[in-house]
Amino acid sequence: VSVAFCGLELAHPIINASGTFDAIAAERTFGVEALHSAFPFAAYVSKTVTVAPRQGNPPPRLYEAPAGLINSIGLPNKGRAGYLAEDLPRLERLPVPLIVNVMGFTRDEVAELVSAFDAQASVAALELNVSCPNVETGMLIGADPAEVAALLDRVRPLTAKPLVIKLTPNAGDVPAVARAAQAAGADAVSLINTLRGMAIDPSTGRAWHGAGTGGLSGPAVRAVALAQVADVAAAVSIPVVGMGGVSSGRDARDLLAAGATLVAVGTESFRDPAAGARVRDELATLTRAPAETWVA
Amino acid sequence: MACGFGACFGCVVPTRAGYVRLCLEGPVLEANDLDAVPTGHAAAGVTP
Repeated sequence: VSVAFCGLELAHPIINASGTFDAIAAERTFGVEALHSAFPFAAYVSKTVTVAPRQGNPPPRLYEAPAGLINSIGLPNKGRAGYLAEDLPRLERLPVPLIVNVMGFTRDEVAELVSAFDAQASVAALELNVSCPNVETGMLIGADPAEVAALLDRVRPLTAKPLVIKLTPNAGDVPAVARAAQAAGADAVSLINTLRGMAIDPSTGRAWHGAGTGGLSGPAVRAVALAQVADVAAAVSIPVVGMGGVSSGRDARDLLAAGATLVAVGTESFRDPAAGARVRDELATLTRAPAETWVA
Repeated sequence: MACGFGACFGCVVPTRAGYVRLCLEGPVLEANDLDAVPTGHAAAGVTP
């Protein structure tokens, strides 16, 4: 059963969460042919691209929490130029539409990235990562409806490609941010990003992560994701991409029932690189039955 | 390490060429390439 999403016709509703499935590394691990012939996701969302290259945060970067993971990776990437030269030529050969996730620390940086990828025919859509501070105003962009609206006012005119806003759950009123995004021309919203969290190194009494704090993901956040997706889906009329702790077809079905159009698999792909295909297949089995026959 | 196949960037170690993923570039690295003082931190943010 195909799914319409922002003008794209997708084979099924399961995609990956940005930064949780490196298709280029997976080609190396599993083989290009094997990966492409059975690609698990209906669209591929690439890891966040910034204007300048980033090394990422100092280790340790990961901490295993109860039913979850606290990560502090710090968005390592080759920067716009490196992505265009090295990554895009490989990612555009994937058998599914490519959604490029971008992040800027100023509106001008986001505009630069949106313009650069608007010019690439192989890019189907853009996802804006707003889980970062605007270095000019000091505000966490995604926590403030006015910041998101101002960002979209700046970049919406630069492309006709679909713009998806990746919402942060670390906001006082997430539906208000989603409404602001819709009013300012966003084509879709995706949520949740990781919940800000921390762990202490028992041997030092100091922060475990090299960068001090991190983001919690995995089954631990599933109930939070479900509630936020339901609230946002009720608040907007644009499509919602739901994610957060999805590890089975039932989890995906729950997010669809809460109002999501697509569901992304994230942290589960670290535990099981075949999770995307498994969730997709489990969902297909479940959705043959009408909703009133669902068993909890 | 979370994934073991290059997706999570959790297993990085500092080298003269920057952080490399031990699961992809290792597990054995040239000792001379290892960087005792990690480089690149100035460019690193704290965004998860």
